[in-house]
Amino acid sequence: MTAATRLALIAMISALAIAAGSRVASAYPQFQPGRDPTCTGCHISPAGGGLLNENGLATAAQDSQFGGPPEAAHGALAGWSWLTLGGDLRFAAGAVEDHGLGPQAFPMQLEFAASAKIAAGFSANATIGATRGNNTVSSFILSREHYVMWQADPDAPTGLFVRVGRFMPVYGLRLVDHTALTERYGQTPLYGETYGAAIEYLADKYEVHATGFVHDPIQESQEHGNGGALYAELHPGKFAIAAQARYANGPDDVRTAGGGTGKYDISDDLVLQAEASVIHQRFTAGGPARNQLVSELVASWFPADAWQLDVGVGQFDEDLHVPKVDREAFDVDLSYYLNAHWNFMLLNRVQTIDFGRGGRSSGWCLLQLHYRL
Amino acid sequence: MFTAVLVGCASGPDDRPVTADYLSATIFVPACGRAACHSATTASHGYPFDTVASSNASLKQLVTTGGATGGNGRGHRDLLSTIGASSNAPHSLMPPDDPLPEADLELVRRWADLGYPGLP
Repeated sequence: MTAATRLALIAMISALAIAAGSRVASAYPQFQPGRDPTCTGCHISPAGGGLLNENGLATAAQDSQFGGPPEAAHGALAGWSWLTLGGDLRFAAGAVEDHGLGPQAFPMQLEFAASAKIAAGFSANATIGATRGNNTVSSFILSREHYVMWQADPDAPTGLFVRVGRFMPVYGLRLVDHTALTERYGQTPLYGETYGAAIEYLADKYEVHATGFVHDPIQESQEHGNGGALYAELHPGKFAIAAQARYANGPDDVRTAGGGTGKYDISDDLVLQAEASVIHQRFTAGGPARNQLVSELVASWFPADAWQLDVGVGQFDEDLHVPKVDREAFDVDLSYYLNAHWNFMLLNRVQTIDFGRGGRSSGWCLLQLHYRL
Repeated sequence: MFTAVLVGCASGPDDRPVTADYLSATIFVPACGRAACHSATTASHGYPFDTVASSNASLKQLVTTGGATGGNGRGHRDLLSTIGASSNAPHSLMPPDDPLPEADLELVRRWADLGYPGLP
């Protein structure tokens, strides 16, 4: 039995064993295009992610097994009308296939976030967290995001938003898993935030995000270029479809990317999401340019109250001109939301190169503990 | 679905340039220079790979001195074995969770056989 086959079996058996103990209940409407079509239905940021708004906090409690006060520190760091606090702590342990299956345990995230209303329609938003540094204290501290946001109608989840500061230019599905090939290789890698200005308009049936950005000259970022990103999505009902484009001009290369995303709400407890991008990359030092293709298809099933099963297939071809360099990732992730703050994720992946013909396969089976402050 | 489209897209010989700049830009920077690995800040084991310049400098150090892992002639073997391009691969290969395709490893082997052209 190959290592890849072993990992696939581990993933399937683990997912089925845990799912067997779940009970039937409601779905996760916040992920469904037909019910809560914009990210601001649950998040403060128009791009999604990070701090939850009032509706998001209520949903976090409602859709977990045991609920509880969803506010920061179970309500101990809440109660201010002008200030929202939060944060994320993630830790993972399990087995990683790396030239032999071996144990791994590592912290994934320690980050705090704050959003303060500073004037009518204006808010200041920032995160500060730990990262893997070197031999200086400052290198272990990173503020991924810090921006000022103006919202035309602060009491509504829709309307015009303007953000100026450091954040990730809006592009792609924005999956929470940074190892998804569309995140890692699709122009939105972990720590890929830039300084920029974004004009974003969200409506019930559509949304548009336009961002101009420059690279961060002080803190580390995976994006060394300057450019822009455009993401336009229609979400008229049970489905959503988006077109996207991105351009970055850096010291080593120039990347032009384009593609789209799609979401389909098959039923109350089954959602499909897909993304595909083509990236054209030219190199400053010369040599032939290359075209890359990256895509992802994820099915999310909510079989029972507090349970979520994601089955995904990702693909990345680093150079369409070169044979046998395309990667495939097969994911089976099972999430359990214990209460409004704790959730556990069993993450399983088998990753191949040209379906095993182009190089060494890899993968992992990890249990991730996530505490949302 | 998308992968199926790819089948047959690339079938010719690998004619990519075998130079330090091109290998850094297309293989080492994207594979090694990620956040919290060999990025500029983290520079694990003292080797940054986040730009073509830093990648070339790290490769130079690796192949000439053996860097942090060896010295005195071990560099050549260390580079190839670390990424799995030689038969004496160590237990932990780089990148740890996302191995390089054999086509990329072969390109690095050819570059090594030519004496690492283009290194500063």
